[in-house]
Amino acid sequence: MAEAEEPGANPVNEPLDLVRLSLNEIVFIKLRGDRELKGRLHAYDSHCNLVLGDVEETVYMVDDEEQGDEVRTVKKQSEMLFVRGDSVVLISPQQ
Amino acid sequence: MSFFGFDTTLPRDRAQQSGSRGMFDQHDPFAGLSRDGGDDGEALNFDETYDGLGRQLNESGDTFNDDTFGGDAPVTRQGVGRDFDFAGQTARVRDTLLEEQTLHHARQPMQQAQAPRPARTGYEAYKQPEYIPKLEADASIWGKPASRQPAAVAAAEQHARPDSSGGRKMMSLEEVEAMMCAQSKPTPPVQDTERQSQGLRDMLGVGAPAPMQQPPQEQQRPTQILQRPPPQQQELPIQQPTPDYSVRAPQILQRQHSPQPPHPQSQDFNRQPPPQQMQFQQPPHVPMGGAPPVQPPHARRQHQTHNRGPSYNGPPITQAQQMMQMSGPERESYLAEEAKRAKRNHKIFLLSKNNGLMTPQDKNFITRIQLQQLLTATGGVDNEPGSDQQLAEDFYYQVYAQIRGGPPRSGPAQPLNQFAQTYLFQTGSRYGYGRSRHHPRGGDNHVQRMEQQVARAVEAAKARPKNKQLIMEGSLGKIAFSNSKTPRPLLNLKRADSEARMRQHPRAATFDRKAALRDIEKMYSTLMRLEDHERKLPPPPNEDSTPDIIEGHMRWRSQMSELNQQLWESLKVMEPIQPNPTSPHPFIQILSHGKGKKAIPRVFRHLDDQQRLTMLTLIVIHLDILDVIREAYPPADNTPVPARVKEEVELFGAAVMPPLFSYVNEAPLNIIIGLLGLVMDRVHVQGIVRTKVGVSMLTMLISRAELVKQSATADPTQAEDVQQWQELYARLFDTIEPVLPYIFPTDTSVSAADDVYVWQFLAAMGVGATPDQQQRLVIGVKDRVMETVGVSKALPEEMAARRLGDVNLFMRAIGLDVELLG
Repeated sequence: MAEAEEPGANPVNEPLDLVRLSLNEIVFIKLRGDRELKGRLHAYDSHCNLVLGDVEETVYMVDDEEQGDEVRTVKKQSEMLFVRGDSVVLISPQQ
Repeated sequence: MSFFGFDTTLPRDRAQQSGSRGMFDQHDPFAGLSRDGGDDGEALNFDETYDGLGRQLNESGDTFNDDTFGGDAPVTRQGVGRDFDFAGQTARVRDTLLEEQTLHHARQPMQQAQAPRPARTGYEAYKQPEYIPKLEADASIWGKPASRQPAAVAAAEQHARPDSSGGRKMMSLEEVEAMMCAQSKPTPPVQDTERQSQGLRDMLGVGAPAPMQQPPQEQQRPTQILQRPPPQQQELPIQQPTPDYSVRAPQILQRQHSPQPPHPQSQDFNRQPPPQQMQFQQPPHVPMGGAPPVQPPHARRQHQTHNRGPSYNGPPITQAQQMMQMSGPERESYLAEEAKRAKRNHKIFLLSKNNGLMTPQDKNFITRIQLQQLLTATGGVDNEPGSDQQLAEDFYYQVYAQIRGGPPRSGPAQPLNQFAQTYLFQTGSRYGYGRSRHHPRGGDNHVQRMEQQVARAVEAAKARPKNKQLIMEGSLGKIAFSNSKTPRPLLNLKRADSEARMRQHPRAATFDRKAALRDIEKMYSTLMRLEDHERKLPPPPNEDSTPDIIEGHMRWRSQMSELNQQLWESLKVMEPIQPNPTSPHPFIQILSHGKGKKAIPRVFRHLDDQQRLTMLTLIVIHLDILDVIREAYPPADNTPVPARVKEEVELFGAAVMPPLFSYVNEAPLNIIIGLLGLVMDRVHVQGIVRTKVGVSMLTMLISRAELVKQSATADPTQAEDVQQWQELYARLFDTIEPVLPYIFPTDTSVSAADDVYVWQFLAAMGVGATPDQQQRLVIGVKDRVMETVGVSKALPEEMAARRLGDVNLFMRAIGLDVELLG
């Protein structure tokens, strides 16, 4: 997605500025450990620590010795979550 | 050649002389010393150096040495004697004194038999001569020392009186000694508080008073509590002189003859009252000695000001026999009081068991460290509230404090900071003066020491040779070290602007959303900069402020207007309105997001009237494009509107409407007319009227217009406006009339509907309606009214009342009432 230079825009458009655009929006987060989150982004910082609200967490688990690609998912709900930044893989606007 | 005739040749020269000696014959440095007088031994010959002056001395002052120093025997303690121990001697004699008095008093007839009870009243200790009272400060410290003299004299006199006149001389000596004892004993309690106040003064860095007496006070240090004296009753100041712990004992015994009629004593009593009364009534804390219970009427007159605790109002009891003299209730109250006192003393003792572990200097030290940390935590040197450092430390608290409006132009922390600084300055300077001999390292020790250490470390680091680059052998290149002065340079990338512009068109939809989000964020950052700048408002200048202040203020204002301009631009309100836009107006797009709506109230504060009007106009024009109206339009099948939309609607009502409302409430009629005209012309009224936001907007405009019209009808200059309004109103009415039954919310049943806004709208309409129009209004909503009234009969009490009240809003506006409907 191309960003046009707007007059008077922030001089340095860094990737985290895109995250800034998604504040207060529903975002989709992929975490380490085969987990995904979907919730409303309330806050972030340079470490990618996140504060999410109304979160639904999906954990993907592979049962041992399963030949097929059958993965179980476990879903959890939380009203408010703080996510430590070092486990965040990607942040994306809602699909 | 030398002064003393020594050999002055240097060893090396001497060695040259005897160079043929070889290695066996080393140079012996002491060789010359064993030489006898010989050729250069004149200096060692003392016989002829004696000048005989000592023999000429004639000492004559030793005649009385034996007398002074006790002859041949060495000086011993016993030889010197202990005649200077006056207090001890009197103490020993005192027992005799007491015995004599007891015997004499015992000779007097007693009214009651003495109970052979072991009289342990707790005051026995006071009879010991060397007893230093524990824990309690004698209240006599508050009295004037001079008063003790006559008191002691009086006591002594009273001792004297019962005695026979023959013992007069001895009594006077005893009286003197009693006085001296009296003087030595009260000083412990005086110094108790003295010491404590000294500690306080140390804390506050004030100069110390004259040095106190040390020796008897070492025991007092653990318990530096200023306590009231045992509640000796002061209601009888005229009766007895000031008690000291020493004098009390004789007075105790004196009371044994208190049951006597007071006549023989009254004379003496009356002698003393005039001078003492004044003195002892002033400091009510001065504990007076016990008085004979025979003088209660007199006692009651002098009732003390602070009566603590139980109701015991008699003299303090120091002997068992007095317990017998009192009646039952008096005794109980006295015992209760004693118990309370004992409990309190015990508690104090528990609390103060570990007192005195830290010296005042230690406490000062700790306090200073804490205050320094406090200072640095709240901004340290730069204590100006709202300064960047303070904000960086704790933004939310600083802003909260400023919003709450602390003391004018100074945050809540500032007085504390000043206090801390003052304290540190005072104690620091005091340290500097008082300890300059012991601590020549300067006043602000810890911080300065740290600074010195840091400076030393920096010097050491500088002195050490430092490589600018690291070059490992065998590697292909150099690694450069970067520090704060030479940071690692960033990569220079060329920006491909031209490409970017070509790719815009296919991505219109998502790009619009992106653009809106970016606009919002840009607006937020401008808003935050504006609010920050507003916080830095300098104090307002008046006529006689210095040019600097005025200039600062002008600078602030110019910066403020510049930021305002930036904010206005970021809002994109001034973007041209395209007749058939492919995408909504940027500002409307901003409003489509929740965070955009939330920003409006904050932004509104910084806009001027013209800008506000422009924003309102823009909103009004795009009423049916607003997401809260467009998406809130009730679907044909009456399914409820999605929750997300409902949230947005609520948010709009809570965030955007209030500032618009506040503006409209102050707008003149012509502006209202203009706005409503725009609505009629450009907006699909029948559509918006089915949504909550649309109805609310209309209500806002109409109610304001009606309000202004009522005051303007009297004014002939505004007749034209009123006329215009009437026409507009009629048009509006006609437009809305067909859809009147449909403006009620349909997503829930009648009983659960939240339709107050509709009734408000109808009320606003009804107020300005002609009777004919009112009729038509009623016809339009009659069904709904009846339904609501019917439903509210089945509702619980509170809800029913609320619903009927809502309907009544409309009914009253047209002159009816819900009650009429039954």
